[in-house]
Amino acid sequence: MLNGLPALIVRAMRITVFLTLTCVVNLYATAYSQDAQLTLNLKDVKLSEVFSIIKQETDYQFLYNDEEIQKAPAINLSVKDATVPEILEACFRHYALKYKIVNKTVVVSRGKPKHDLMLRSAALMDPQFAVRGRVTGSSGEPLPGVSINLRGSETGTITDAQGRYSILLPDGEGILVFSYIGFEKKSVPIQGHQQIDVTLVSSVSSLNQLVVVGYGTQKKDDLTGAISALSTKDFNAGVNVSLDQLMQGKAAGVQVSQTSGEPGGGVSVRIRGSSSINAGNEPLYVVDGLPIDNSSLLPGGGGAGLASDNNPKNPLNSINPNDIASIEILKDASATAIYGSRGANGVVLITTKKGHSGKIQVNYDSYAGTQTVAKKIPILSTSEYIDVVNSISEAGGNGVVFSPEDIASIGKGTNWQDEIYQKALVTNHDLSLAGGNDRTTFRASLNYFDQAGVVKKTGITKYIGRLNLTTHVGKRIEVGINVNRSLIKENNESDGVNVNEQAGPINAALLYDPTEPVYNADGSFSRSSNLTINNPLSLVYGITNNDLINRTLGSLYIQYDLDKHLSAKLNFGYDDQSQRRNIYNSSLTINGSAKAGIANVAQLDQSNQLVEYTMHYSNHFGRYHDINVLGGITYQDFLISQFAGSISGFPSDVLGVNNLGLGNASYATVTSDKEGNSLLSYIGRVNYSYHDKYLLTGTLRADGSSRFGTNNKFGYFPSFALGWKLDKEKFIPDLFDQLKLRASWGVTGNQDIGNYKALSTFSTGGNAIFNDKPVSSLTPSGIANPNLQWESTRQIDLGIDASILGGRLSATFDVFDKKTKEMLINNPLPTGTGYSAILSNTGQMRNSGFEAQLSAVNVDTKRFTWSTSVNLSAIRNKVLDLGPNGDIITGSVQFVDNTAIYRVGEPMASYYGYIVTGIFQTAEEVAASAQSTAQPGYPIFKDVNGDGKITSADRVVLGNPYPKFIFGLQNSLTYQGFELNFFIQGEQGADLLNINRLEGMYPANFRRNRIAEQALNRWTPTNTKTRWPSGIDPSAYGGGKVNSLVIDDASYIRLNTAQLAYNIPVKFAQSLRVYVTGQNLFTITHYIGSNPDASSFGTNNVRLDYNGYPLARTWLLGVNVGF
Amino acid sequence: MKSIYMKVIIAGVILATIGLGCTKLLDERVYSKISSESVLSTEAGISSVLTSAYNKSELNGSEYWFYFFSAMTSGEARNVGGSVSAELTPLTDFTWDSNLDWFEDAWKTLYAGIRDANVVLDHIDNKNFSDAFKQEMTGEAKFVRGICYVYLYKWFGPTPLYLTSSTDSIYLARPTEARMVSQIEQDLTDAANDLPVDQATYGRATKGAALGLLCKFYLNQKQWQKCADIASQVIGLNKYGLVPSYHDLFDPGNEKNEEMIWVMPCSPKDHSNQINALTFPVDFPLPYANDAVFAACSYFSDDFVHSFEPGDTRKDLIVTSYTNTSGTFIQLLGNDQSMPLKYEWDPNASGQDAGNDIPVVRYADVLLSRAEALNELNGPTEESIDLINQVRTRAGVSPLSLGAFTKATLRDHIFQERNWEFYYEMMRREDQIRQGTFISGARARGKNAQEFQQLFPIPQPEIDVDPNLKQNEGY
Repeated sequence: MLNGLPALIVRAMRITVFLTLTCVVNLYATAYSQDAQLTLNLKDVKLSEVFSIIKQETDYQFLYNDEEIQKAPAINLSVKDATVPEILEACFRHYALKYKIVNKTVVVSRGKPKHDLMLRSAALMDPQFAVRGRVTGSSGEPLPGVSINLRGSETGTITDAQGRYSILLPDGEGILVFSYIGFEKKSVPIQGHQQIDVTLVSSVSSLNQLVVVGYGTQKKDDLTGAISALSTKDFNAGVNVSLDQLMQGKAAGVQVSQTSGEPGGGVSVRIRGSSSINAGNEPLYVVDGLPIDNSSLLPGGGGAGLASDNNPKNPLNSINPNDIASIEILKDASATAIYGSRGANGVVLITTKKGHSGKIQVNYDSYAGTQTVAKKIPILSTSEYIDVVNSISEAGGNGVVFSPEDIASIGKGTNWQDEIYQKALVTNHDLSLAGGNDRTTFRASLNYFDQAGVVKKTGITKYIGRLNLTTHVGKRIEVGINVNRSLIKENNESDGVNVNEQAGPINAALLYDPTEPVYNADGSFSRSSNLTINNPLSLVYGITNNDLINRTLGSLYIQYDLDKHLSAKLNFGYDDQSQRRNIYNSSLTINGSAKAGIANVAQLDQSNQLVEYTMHYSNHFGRYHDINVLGGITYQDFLISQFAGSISGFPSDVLGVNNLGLGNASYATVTSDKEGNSLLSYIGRVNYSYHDKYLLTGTLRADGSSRFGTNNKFGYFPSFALGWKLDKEKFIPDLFDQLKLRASWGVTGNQDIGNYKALSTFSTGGNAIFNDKPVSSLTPSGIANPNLQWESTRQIDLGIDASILGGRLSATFDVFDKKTKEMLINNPLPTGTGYSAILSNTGQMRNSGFEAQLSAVNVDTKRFTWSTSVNLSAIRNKVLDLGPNGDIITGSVQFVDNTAIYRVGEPMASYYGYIVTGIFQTAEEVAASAQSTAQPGYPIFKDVNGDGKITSADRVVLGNPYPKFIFGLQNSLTYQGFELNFFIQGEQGADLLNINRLEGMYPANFRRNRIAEQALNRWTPTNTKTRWPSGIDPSAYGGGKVNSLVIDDASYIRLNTAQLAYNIPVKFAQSLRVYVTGQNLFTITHYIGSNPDASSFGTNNVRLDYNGYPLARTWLLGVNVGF
Repeated sequence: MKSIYMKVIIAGVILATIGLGCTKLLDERVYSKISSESVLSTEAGISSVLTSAYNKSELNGSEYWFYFFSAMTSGEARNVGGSVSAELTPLTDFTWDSNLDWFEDAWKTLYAGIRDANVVLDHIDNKNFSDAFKQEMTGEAKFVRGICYVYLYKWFGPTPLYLTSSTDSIYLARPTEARMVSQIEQDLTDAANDLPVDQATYGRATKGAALGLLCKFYLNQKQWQKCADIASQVIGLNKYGLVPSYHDLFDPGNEKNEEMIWVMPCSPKDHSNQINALTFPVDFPLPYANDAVFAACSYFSDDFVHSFEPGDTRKDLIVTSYTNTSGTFIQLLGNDQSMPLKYEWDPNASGQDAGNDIPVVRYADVLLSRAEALNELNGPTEESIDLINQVRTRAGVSPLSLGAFTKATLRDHIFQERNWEFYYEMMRREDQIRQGTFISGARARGKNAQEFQQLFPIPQPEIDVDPNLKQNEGY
């Protein structure tokens, strides 16, 4: 029954009329009918008859409108050894008809009227000149289905499975144009050559490019949604340890921030702003159709007397950036609604490279390089420190700290930043094999990556293997398997947002007394008797903090073509990760020695499984109707479990975490936890196109999540979009190759609200001490909210895609408005109830903005090419509603609390604190102020409410971490074998709360070092025109108050990457490319920290910089060879 | 055409069937949390919730609030250095406001303890529970609820009385002074009636603990007769006495001694005592390798150190000079930098975390409370002098004689005696308030203190959220 279907359809759609006057058919059938060559000599034959003959002799099928074909006048046709595309090309050049070949189905539609409908049989019957050749991709693989046209005529053909073609031309003049989906068009003058071989370079700007969309692919020209599609040539070059860094600065509306410069460090991605306070703001990542759980594994640091909040690592480290073929970023609701309750933050679709049929391609890429700290924080040098400490102490009436004898014995002192930083090496080896035959294709790759960090003893080592395999079983079944396996070893830097003896090497290096030596006379690490901070180097060598992460990520699918319109696909996905973290804090540190060694071992296992069944229907009806329908059901199940054990009191540090039994059992703690959640969803999408001009997309996803309250198990996420291809309209001048208007509306959701929030349960409470021993307890976890549901985001998008000059200049503009409703707010309760808040869907937030993407081929000559692409986006975030209770004040870093505020009318997580209007100069000024206990040299806080006191009521919004706009600028130049790429990106107008500066303003201990500018330019009776206070008794002038002096402008422009490559023509290999890459070469910024992009809490909304791991400046030398 | 539709329909039916079969898959799978029913229907579950209530009544083991709230505001100690100083300065300088985090932390934690106690009380009436268990749990839960309200009242004045775990009515107003007082009285009296004199488990409430707390509550209420009566009851239990050596009282090796009526139990592992770590400087020679200190230091004024009578052994616990780790001699007394070493270094400390229990009510306090109450009721009497002399004799100072005092001078002496006896035990603030010197003393220290600052402000987040909750006067 199933096999009968295609024939049935074809029969139903045509009238079988044979009017054979004369018919000579010579058939040279080959194994593959695609290569079938026919010799025809037909006179006065109807088009429908030609179709019948071809259909009989080959396995081509035809789709057409009978009326149209019947009207077509009869022709004469004479060809010899011609392929079907050649025959069709010959037939159709005389008709006002267009055709396209899709999977051996020839679809005939009405085209633009020709000026000459008369038969020109003479030309038709007497082609004078035959050209043959082969078309290959840049790595030598054959490209089947490339269309070849004689410019300015209708003559054309396509290549066969081996990439070969032959074309019959009137003469040996003119230009052949080679075009292929996903590749750049190429024009070759014929100049009498009968053999023309061509290599095509893959492209993104092609309108025919297939773009990956949710649960399928679509022609770029047919998109109605806002999607940024990036392919390999768009990716960032250089050390990209994770795939999200490939797209930094490359797509409009996508803000990628490297929140930590640590190898494998965290990256924050915001697509069209941040839309949630309490649910996540990171996009959904889908790898080859499998939505992965991208939450970070074990949180940073934790335990063993170390920082508990350091920046978590990037969970995408487990995917090899060299395996990525394309990244599609779905931005508007039309594109993301198919992902329903996970679509509100945008979706990143990652497609890995697949094999091609043909000869096996071997590719080896290797690079090595060095990294140095791009920017150290300018702190006081030893002599400056001595001077500052002595002067402040004297000014405070306490005499000098360092006598001339002290100063003489101190000498040069120690530059602690120099002590903890190093020149670090990075190496990468990447080997891939790709190939296959007509039935089976594969690509396998292995990657070894080793990167030391610029902070001593930090780094990452990765081993990643991937196999992608696709095979056809029979004519209708396709089976595919993609497996990614990774092993990652990380040596972590122990900094975080903790202070004093908990702090790590970076914080310690900034604060440690520069007059102290590194080592004592006996070679042991020195320890200052004035500070509770560790000797920075003793932290480097005294703490072992490493992770071992295993991840297996894979999917297996079976696709069955019921007929050529209807297919079904069953997809299984699996993602399993385990992480083990070992921390040992040895007796070289203050905490470690006090507790005789502290060991902490944590284990986390996280997995999810996907089962998905989808059906896809596509057809062409009547004259103008194209329809594509997708329907399906998908189920995904997540499980996470954790175990952690900690013990201290070791007789020796030698064994570290390897024998916890040696520790003192009375200081042992163990914890474990396990959580699960699941999603069951129904998806549906209809794409309809009328006349290939008007496009309509409708999507609906019904998402059920275990996380939602019993009253709201299912959410429904619809979207609609319209597209209008103006370039197809007569009233639009021919100037445009593409001019398309898009409009979309839709609702997406955010279910990233944590587990069990809708339930009332008991969880572990604090311990009480009974009989001198801690006894565990149970306490109510919260008040149940059975109405709890997803956040929903309504998004409207208007876009325009335009392209002129044969694609040399193209542009995309979008404006959008995203409004999040039912936003999850922890609605505060009177804590008298014992509960501080109940999670409820009460808030609203808006993100609106503008995006532009422009690309241009500036110069395109045979020897020299230059192309530029630039993107720019401006997004505004505004909190609209926070439920009944208004402001939410949040954010704390150890000694600094309440750094940020959510307030209606302001961008979310705006900085919140006091305005410093100046420095008190005289006692009279103090007396007249709201700070009666101040001294000259203290900062003047603005008495905002005018009550004559400085209280927390005087805090105001001081700024926000959102840039006014972000941009990226890419330039690519080639001159013969040389290529030069450079990429500049930046952000303008963001603020950043610099906690290191705040710490310098209020040193917790007088003997700590400080940021130079603040200390050297401090207020003194003789240096009065300054914004920095005197430094005398700093806790008296305001403690850890967040204030306007430490909200820094974090705007920057960065030469992110520059790469110079040379393609060496060699005999022994298909390609040989050597390159040198510089990364993070310079940054123009006023920001005083090491990285204006930093965020100590990783992807958290509250953004601040504290002890940021510095970015490295990297130089790489690499070679890429293909066989 | 028709067969296409057939296939689509068949496929659709398959889809729907799979889906219908899957709806159970959306149930929450809970692994490491326990359902309310299974906790509240067993004795072990109820007892475990009560353990959480104990934890919170001890402020999650963060005794700093007691220490800071009393020591900084009363001028007993001065803290210098450390990250903590940013938050301490407002307490020292009387510039605190309703946004100081510690107020909200204390409020939230104590009320969570009250909630846990209410959960126990609301679910204790279960036919599966033994009567002995019911009585024990009821007594302990009321004790915990009572002590939490005592702290709230001490810091904030009358605060909303949440007496049930139900969340039906949550926006409560503040009760009257009388209502608040009677509720605390009721809880502690009920607890004293239900609780045994001796507990097998150290750290669980006893009859003496409930009475001792009530005695102190009445003292601060200036309900002199009731205070004196309850003090008699405590003395009459014949369970408590004075430890012969003042030094040994606070030695971690001598915990569970007969003088401790109620303590915040500490352990280096959990609920640790970090008072020494917040007192001594980095260069102080620590006796054990496993000791460590923070950057913050706490100092006593010279005036206080000089106030002790000759031979007073209580003064011996104050460090007036030391030789630092670099071998330099540091003179503290004379520079207003003496440091109290009341809590002897714990040989089992784990870094800054020591295990010295912190007294809340001790027998000496009950004796001095009764002495003070009797003096207020009757003026100086043999009995009150005798009570005071018990405490003085243990300290090694000469006994007082009755003839030397008027009611007013004995009152002053008792406060002085209390300062010597209870320094660094988080008692100075409430004593000064009772004495009426809390604000005047601060002004004498140069602080811009106002009368309304005898109470701390209700934490701002609470005012913001509960429309019925009125802020304390002046804030």
